[in-house]
Amino acid sequence: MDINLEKLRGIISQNYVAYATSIFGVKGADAVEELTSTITKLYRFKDPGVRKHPLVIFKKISSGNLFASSSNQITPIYIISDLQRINHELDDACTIEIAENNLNIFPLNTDEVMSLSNDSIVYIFDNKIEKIIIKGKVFTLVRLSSSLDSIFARPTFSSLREALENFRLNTVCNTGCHILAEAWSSENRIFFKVKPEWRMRRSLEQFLKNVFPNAEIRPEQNVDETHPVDIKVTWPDANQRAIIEIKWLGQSVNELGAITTKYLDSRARDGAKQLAEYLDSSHSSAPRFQTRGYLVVFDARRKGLVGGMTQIATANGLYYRDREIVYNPEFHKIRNDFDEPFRMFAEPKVI
Amino acid sequence: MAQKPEAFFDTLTIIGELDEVLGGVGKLEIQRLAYLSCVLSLYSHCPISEWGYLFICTEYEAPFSSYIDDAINILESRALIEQKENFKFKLTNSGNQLWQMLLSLRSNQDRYKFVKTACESLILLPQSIFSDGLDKEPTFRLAIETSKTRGLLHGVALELLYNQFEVISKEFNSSEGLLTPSVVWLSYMADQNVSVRE
Repeated sequence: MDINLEKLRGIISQNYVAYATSIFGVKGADAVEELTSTITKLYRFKDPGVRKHPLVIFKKISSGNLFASSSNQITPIYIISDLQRINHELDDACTIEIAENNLNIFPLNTDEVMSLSNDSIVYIFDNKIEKIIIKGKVFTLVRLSSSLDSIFARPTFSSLREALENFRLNTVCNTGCHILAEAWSSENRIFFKVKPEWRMRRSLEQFLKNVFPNAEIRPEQNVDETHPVDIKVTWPDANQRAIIEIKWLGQSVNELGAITTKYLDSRARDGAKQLAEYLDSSHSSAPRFQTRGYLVVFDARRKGLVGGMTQIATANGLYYRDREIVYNPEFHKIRNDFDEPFRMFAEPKVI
Repeated sequence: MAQKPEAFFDTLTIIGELDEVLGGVGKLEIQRLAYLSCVLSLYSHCPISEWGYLFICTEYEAPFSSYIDDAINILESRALIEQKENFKFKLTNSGNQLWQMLLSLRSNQDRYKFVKTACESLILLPQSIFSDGLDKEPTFRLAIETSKTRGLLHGVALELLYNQFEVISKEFNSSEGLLTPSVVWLSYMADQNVSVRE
């Protein structure tokens, strides 16, 4: 738990907040705070995920209207004082100046973005890539997952099932998460590396933490001493709890390309049985909570795999994409605390 | 149990600061933010005894103060805060008036700085980095690893936290405020950068 100075300085050197403060002092931190609060508020009313054109937002360090200071004063095309009343004013490529009591909207001029950053903290959103520019230095904000369109947008889901569906479509299907990307032995996503489970758990855990801020998300919790589960999600306000069991199907290889593990459909059925047993333990050890079980299956089955394979044709790569797993017994039909299993097919890159 | 005015102020401030930005704040978030506020006061060399109330690690492994919980319940019963959809709390008009009055008191200025910085940190960081970072606070981490309900921010592990802060504080100028140390500490503990410089 001691601080590694080299690692700390590495983080500081990459951190845009630290840079803003080092350049502009406490005014830099204040401008960053106001900029990011405004972006967060804005994204509550305008979903960045559907945005088609670039967006620039800036907060000047010193007071005054940056555009008005030039000899050719530019009049905003819109002035917005109430974000809840925004309609289509921001749909096109535009630049937003954060003024004292409102937002001034200007047409976007990409040539002036760098010069703006000399006396402002500038944010750019373009094609789901976010950057902060400070005195000409560009910082790219880390995108944790394809499921999250912006670091400042807080997606809300009405249920865990809805969130898992989003995770399946946006993160697992085409491996839209850097943690999950590391689980594959190659970029063609044919085989997993040895023991990929912890990356799958970490990817899902991170996603759930970002979309359920009012739940406690805990990995590898003991429901009781003998029955660990992969992820436990607790909503204390609602006395509800979800336990998530993760299984993967497919094959893993070692560094030499030799197949080490092969998991077929039966593993998913084993997972369902395990989960049913965990749920029984959970009900007796934590009766205060209403507990529901979710089986999440990362499906990387491919047809015709042999060790050392580096490419796969479409027919074999996607053979199992729509092939559902048959469960027996179907716990989700005979128990009311067992949700329908989630199969998340992870597509390979095919030739 | 005696109520703590500090807990009321912290709860009102957290909800007041994040009300408009996030559309409300849930109980777990309020507890976490109160916890980080206390941690930030330690970074600024305030003794833990001056914070006014303590925290424990609960059965579902979250920092918890019964005084904060009481403050939320009492504020709601007096219609100073109200619960909206998704269990989120917002200030009522009366709550906002009370909060503004409390903010004007000189005795609350230092405390406000810690709570405000905690709220700003939550906006700046993805939720996963924020909560992962806070989870790794040494006394909290020890409580999770030993699976016991225990008091936080005391004991041998607290010395580890002070050591961490001593190293971090040397990298920054104190006149530049608390936000950068807060964000950097959380990112370091979560082992995750929030940005990459080109």
